Amino acid sequence: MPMSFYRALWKHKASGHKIVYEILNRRKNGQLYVALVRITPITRQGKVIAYVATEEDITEFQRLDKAKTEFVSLASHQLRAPVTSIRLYIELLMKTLKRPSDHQKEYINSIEISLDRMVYLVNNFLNLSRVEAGKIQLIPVLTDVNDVIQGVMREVDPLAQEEQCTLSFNPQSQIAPLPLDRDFLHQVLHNLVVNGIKFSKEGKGQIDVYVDEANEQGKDYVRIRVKDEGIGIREEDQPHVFEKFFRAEPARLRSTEGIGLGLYVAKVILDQTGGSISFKSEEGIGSVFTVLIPKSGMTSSLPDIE
Amino acid sequence: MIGMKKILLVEDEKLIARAYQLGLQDAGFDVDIASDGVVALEALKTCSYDLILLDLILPKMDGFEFMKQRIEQKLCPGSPLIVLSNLGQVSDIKKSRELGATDYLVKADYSLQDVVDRVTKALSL
Repeated sequence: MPMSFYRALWKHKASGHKIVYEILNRRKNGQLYVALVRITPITRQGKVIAYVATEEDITEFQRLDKAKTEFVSLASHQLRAPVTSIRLYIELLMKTLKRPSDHQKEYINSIEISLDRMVYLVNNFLNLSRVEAGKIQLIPVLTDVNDVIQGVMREVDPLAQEEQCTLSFNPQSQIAPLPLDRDFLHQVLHNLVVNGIKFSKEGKGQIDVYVDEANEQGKDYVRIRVKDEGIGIREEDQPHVFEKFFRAEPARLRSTEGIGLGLYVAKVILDQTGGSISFKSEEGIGSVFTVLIPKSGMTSSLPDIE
Repeated sequence: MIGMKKILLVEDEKLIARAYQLGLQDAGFDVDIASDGVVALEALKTCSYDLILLDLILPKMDGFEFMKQRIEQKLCPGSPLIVLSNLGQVSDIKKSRELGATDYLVKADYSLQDVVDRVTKALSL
């Protein structure tokens, strides 16, 4: 390590903040290893009186992390090839059909919807890897939540029709735009509405989305609720809803899409950016999922793993 | 056909290569497919191409090495080379430009028609 590094470190340490950093260190036998060093100041009456430093060997962790990142990159490339291929052949097919019949248009449309669904699943899967690697970077831009919800409703409409499910949402003009990552919110709400449709009772589904403002524990939030009149979540399943790879029993039986990642990823990110996601559900009656986003907006990035 | 522009398409995914070939043929181009960098380099030696469409991740010799070799061996030096890849990192684009790529298209973002349009544009210059 160059001397400038230690000078910068000392300067930072003198500022009284907790420091976490990685260094390449050398053992007595000359072997190099990656160390995660934490230095925590102990203060008394506002003055730093001591420091506690710990060092952890993370060489193996880093090796595994690198292998995982490489795997994700490889997998994403491998998955893109068939998706590209399908898209190209849909285009060729449409071009060859000079005047496609309504049936033919419908079939092609269904292929495209399924393809979009697959891309969406793959993205969810890749997001998981990024979340776990602490590599999700959110891009907050001033966003009208109403717009995001309407976008989701439009996107999900074909699926809702297919499943004979009614979607309803009334935009609320009093909700001021707030800084948040539009794509992320879109994905979370898309997940919730699709889940609502999947778990609706056959032929009479009803999904209502509400948006309003709420104050919880002294903090102001924009609150989005997705309510369904579906089969509900069994009491014994409820504690596991936000667990990774968890899928409720009926979804498993209905062999619908989903790998049990959407809610897990949503919770991890919302929890770490000042928001939250929760639900209430009763078997046979339905579920309400509530997303809270601070009115001040989502923070821009996830904290580093400490 | 006299005057038909010849394109070398370097792409290892057979179905994707065939789709681009069909689209380009339909637009009036003559398209040869090379399924890896080595085959592509050999093709460049024996035949003159008006344009090269190049994937980057290829067996035997990847797209970057292919571009390097093309410069070193001065093969079809005047023909435009369009990279057509799913790698979309800024570093990949920069590296490709440095190695003589005249255009860079990320497959997922461009339809078949878009690719045909870009090829037509590159050849009309």
